[in-house]
Amino acid sequence: MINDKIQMTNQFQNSNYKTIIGLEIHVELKTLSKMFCSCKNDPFHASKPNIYTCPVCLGLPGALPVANKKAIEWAIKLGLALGCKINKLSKFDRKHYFYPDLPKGYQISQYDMPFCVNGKVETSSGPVGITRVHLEEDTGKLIHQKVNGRNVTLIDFNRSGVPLVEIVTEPDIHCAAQAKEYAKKLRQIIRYLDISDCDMEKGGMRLEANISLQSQKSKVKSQKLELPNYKVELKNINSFRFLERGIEYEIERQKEILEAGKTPTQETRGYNAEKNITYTQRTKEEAADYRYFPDPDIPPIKINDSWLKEIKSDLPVPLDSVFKGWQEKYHLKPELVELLFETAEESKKLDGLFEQCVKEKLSVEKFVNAMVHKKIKTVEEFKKMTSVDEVNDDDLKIIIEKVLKANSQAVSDYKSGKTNAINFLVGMVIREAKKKIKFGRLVSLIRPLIK
Amino acid sequence: MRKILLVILIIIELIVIFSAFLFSKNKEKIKRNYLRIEKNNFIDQDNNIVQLKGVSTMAFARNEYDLTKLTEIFTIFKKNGVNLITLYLYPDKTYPTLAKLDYLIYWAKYNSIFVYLVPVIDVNDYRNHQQRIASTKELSLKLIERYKDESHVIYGVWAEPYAMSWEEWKFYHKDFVDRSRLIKKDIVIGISGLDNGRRFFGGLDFDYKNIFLDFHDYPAKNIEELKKTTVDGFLWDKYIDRYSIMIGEFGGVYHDGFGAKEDNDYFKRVIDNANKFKLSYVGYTVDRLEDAGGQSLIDWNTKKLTEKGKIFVESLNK
Repeated sequence: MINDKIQMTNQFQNSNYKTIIGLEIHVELKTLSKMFCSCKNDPFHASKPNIYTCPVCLGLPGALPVANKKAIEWAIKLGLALGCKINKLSKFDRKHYFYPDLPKGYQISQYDMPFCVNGKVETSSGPVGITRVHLEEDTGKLIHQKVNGRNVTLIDFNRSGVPLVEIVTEPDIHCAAQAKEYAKKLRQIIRYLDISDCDMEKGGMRLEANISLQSQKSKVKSQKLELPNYKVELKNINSFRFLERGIEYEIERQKEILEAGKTPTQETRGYNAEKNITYTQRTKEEAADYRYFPDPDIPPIKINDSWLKEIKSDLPVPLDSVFKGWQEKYHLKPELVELLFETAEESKKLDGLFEQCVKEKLSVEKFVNAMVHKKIKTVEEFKKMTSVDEVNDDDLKIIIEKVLKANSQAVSDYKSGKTNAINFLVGMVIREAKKKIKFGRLVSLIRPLIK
Repeated sequence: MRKILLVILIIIELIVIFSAFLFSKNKEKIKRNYLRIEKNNFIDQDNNIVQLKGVSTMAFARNEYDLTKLTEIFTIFKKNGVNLITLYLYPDKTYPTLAKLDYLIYWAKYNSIFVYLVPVIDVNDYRNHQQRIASTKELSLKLIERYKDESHVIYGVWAEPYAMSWEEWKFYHKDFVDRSRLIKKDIVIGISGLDNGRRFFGGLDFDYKNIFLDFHDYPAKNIEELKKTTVDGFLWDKYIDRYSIMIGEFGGVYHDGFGAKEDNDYFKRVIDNANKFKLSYVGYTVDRLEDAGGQSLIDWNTKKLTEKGKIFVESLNK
């Protein structure tokens, strides 16, 4: 197994290019109200367009924003769960650009003083550094459709001003699989904190990847890895599968350009899932193009020790520790048990059930299997399911004789050295008996009767 | 006394003759389940071209199925012409239940059904992906060792790998095929391309003897996407002259809308294509409705075929 891993690593190292990927992920927080006004934050369930709006989120002149304290606390909570340093002083900035879904002409975001910096998420291919976690407001939603035979674009502002947290990574990701793994893990952490549903279908979690290729030859020359002089941003991807496919496509596309002796254009590209290709959307802007400046309507935010302590006290046990604890205590595989809960609250309930199993001397591992595959919910159901019927040896022997007679081919297979054939006979006895009987007991009864 | 001896001798002789007859019958029965590949065809022990028509189950990946009921389900399909069962296996769930697997392998053997064993890379365990890949291969090799004398068993490389590059996938195949052949010289193996077999780049560095291509074909995420998708041909079109083909799984959609009319129509289209070119195919799945929903071919409770199941069974005798 270890050899496999080493050989695979070598395969990658033989490639002429190193893939460099950074991810920017936007997640809508599920606070009750919007980021800078008291409008209801529930765009996905709104009965009509533009019903959760007010002068602030419609960007009307003279309206003043007030920051949502809960959203700030949740952003910090996420930062803490990702191992970030929390800035004691933070502020909101205006990011200027024009688009019909942004009536103010700028988005309130954070530029140089985000709430959280320098975190880390572990993946199976190594740690991924978190550059920053910051808060901003979501834009309205454009709907392109036909009205009275004309192609029109409609705008729904129910989403305008919804708190949006952005998590930006360092360029530490080196393949599509790792990008997918990181994104999935991040979603798991966010759901565990219960601060967002991360519904990707509806746009509650949106993925963007910055992808570039670094020539390994230039690395050998300089003995240190420098970032390439371009990057391609793959934007608004709404599924892990598309993220993975889009990155894979992009790697191949850039490789071809580099091998032709050219440099890929720095640009933003979209992903067409149907054709499995990426396509040019616009050439990439730099930060300076947005003319960031501090929002004069929102005072800077001080995060003092007592507030930070309060937020920390509300943090659940880290998710990795929960998995590790269950693995050590009950030998539970994270990939299985993670199917049974999302939030920290649900994990606590699950832990209670495991303790009940231990008290009643039941296998927690089997209980978890039954929960996943048989959809049972309680220890009582599990007990009922696993009860074994008793059949006495004499009755069993009669059944075994009958089975041996009817399955002479299996008997001769067993006698000719195919010892696994006995398991077929065991199965046939269970089938005949129509009861649950312990496997070991049956084998010990069948063996002497075959001989 | 001499008369009695003569009678005893005759009886013994009769027993010997009868045993030999029985033995030869048994031998013949076991021998019947044998496959090899010639050009683009599966060939059986009688040198006949055989079109494999199978059903598959994730029972061993779920590990909670009642095997008695499962074999009853297989029997229904066998009676209708199925000659293969595909078993998908997760390493960690298979090792503790090898006895159950033995049961099914021998059950298939005694019922003259081929078995296609396909260990699955558990893509849910993205934390330990590389280890998962390695452990899946390890399980495949252990199973080959365990069933190397059972000629009715063929083996497959999981056709749905998780974000692997072709280089990585190529290496996986090469290593697997080389090591498998060391255990079982004439082993029959199904290999696949990336992205459900969509992207098969070829150039695999081994002899293609007894190798077939396995495709999992689901062209769209949901019905809406399926309606928009223009499918001009099939993934295997350009390979059918060169390789033996198994359409290991297929349907219109891979996420939502299983069992909808459009999904079933595509399912039928694939079967029609398979029967036209005598390609082997496997219907996914005979798993319980509550586990597989619209992908199920049969309702375990009523033993009635689903709409998809009816399409499948109707196709078996074509």
